[in-house]
Amino acid sequence: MKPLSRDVLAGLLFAGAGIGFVIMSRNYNFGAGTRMGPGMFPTLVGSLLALLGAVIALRGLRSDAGTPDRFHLRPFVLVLLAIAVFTILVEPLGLFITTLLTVAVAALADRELSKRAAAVTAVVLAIGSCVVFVTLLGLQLAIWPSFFG
Amino acid sequence: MELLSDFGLGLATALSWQNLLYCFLGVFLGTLVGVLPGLGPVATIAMLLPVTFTLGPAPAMIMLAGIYYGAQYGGSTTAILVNLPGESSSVVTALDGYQMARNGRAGPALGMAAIGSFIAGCIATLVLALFAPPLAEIALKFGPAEYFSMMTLGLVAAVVLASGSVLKAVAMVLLGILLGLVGTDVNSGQQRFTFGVAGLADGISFVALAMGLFGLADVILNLEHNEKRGVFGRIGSLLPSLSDLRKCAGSILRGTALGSVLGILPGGGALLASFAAYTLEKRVAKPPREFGQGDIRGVAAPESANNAGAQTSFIPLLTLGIPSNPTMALLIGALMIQGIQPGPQVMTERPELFWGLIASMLLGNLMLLVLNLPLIGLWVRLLTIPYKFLFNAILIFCAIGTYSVNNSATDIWLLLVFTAVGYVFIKLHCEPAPLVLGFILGPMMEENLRRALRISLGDPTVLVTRPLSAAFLVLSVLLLITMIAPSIRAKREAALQE
Repeated sequence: MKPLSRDVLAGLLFAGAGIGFVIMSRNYNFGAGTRMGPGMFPTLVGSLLALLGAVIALRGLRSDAGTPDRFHLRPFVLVLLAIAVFTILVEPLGLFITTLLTVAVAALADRELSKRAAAVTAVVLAIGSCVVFVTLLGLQLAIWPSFFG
Repeated sequence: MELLSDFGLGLATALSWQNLLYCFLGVFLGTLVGVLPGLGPVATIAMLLPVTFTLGPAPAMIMLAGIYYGAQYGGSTTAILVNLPGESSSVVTALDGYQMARNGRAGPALGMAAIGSFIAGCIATLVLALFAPPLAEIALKFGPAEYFSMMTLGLVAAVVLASGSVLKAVAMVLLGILLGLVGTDVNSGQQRFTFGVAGLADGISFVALAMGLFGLADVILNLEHNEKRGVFGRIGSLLPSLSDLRKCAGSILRGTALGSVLGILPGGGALLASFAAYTLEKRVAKPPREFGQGDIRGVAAPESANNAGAQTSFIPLLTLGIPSNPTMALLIGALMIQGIQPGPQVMTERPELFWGLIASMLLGNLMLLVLNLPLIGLWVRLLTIPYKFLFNAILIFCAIGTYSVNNSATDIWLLLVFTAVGYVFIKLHCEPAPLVLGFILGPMMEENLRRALRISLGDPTVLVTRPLSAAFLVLSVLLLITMIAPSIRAKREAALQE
């Protein structure tokens, strides 16, 4: 089977999103002309999006728009994983340790980065971001884990 | 002579030591991210948004604006020396700039880019100072119907000017509007599309959306390939010769004029301006043969245009409270953080902010000239930092920045989601800029439509019976029709291709 063209995929995504918003909007009051309810505007825009998505997908089927560009799984997964690590750890462990661990994950995304260089990057960034963001700029972030007092 | 006294007030504001410092900081950071490929002004401003909490409105705006136009200067350095666009608006500069560097004329290319940018920046700032006040006066008379129709026109224009498929751009705008509606409906108090997540009650964090789509999605893209960069170390004298200057005077002025006009349009800004200026230059300059082989006019025109466009894109923001590109959308966010509702009233209620910003732009352009000519060696050194060190820093800074806006873990989860979505969009050739504009304008459009309908007692024809509103809508429809018509579409594609 021929792989789907990127326009078909994009069209389906748009149509799906549009339909999703329309369905969810049914829980909200539609209202009338003088008093637009919270459901009216999203229903209108969502329907338009669903329609347009269908058109894009259909046109994509007929013409040859080209397949999606190659999806590189390794950097994709590792960058997302690094963000997740940061999100989960920053409140309980503080910025310093979180930065070390986040860089440890993210560094795997680049094959060229040696372990030693990654370690140095992690330490420099951990110190740097604590000093710049917390000490100098005064952002509300803990540097050390909360159980350190 | 009201203009002069206003400007004097602005100068007094901009010249306070605090504002001078933040202006310098802004243009310095702007040049820095402009030079670095893979990090743009949108992500940088988003990162610094939490920092502006503690500043007053004037220093905050002065610094953030400096980042945007400063990045236009920095982008040319990378384009000329590495043949990589430091900023997307410097793509065309690389065509002739890099050839010049190969011919041993890197110095004059860099010099001319800085001089062109400086002239363009100053002229465009004057355009801003002259045209913004009367426009704001008109905008004060707009009712909700006019606002709704004008925003529609703005979004349509953004679609037309986006590269790639028109239909997909329209779909991205609509998706952006819907995402903008997530959160508590201001009128009914109803929570919409939040799935019961408390962190979504105030809506999707714009910083998370912008950093995901423009910052981290690009990081993934850049990690796909092991890059190889050759930096031209030998620059030589920066000063262009007299004949170069004479040759480029026309190009700089044409670039400035084109950039000033395109910067005002929604979706325009610096990027489109540089493309259009290069295309125009190829048509009118004589002899045209040398373009692409190191013609200095091919550097002067787009660099002037992108800087002019960066300055004038502040006009819709400051007069109508409407962003013309994602950077301006972030600046709206910055204003709202300061408790200022962007719109035509800003100019009269806070003249020191408006005129201070304008005066700071002139000072900032002067600083940039100094930063970019004598200090060029510093930026060249910076270019030798490999991406493998840089991306870790970008990732950490984006995460910290997103978290700090609201101290909310939900926001970093959103950053993750939009990073993933942004990467998929890149693979499917869907431009993120229209989505971002829809996201910002969506809730404003709903609110204005609601008000317009309440005033007209539910009669939707109010949108077409009020003449100005009707004109905006007719123009939108005409634009859309012409874009979808096949013959014009072919021409547009050809124009954007170049």
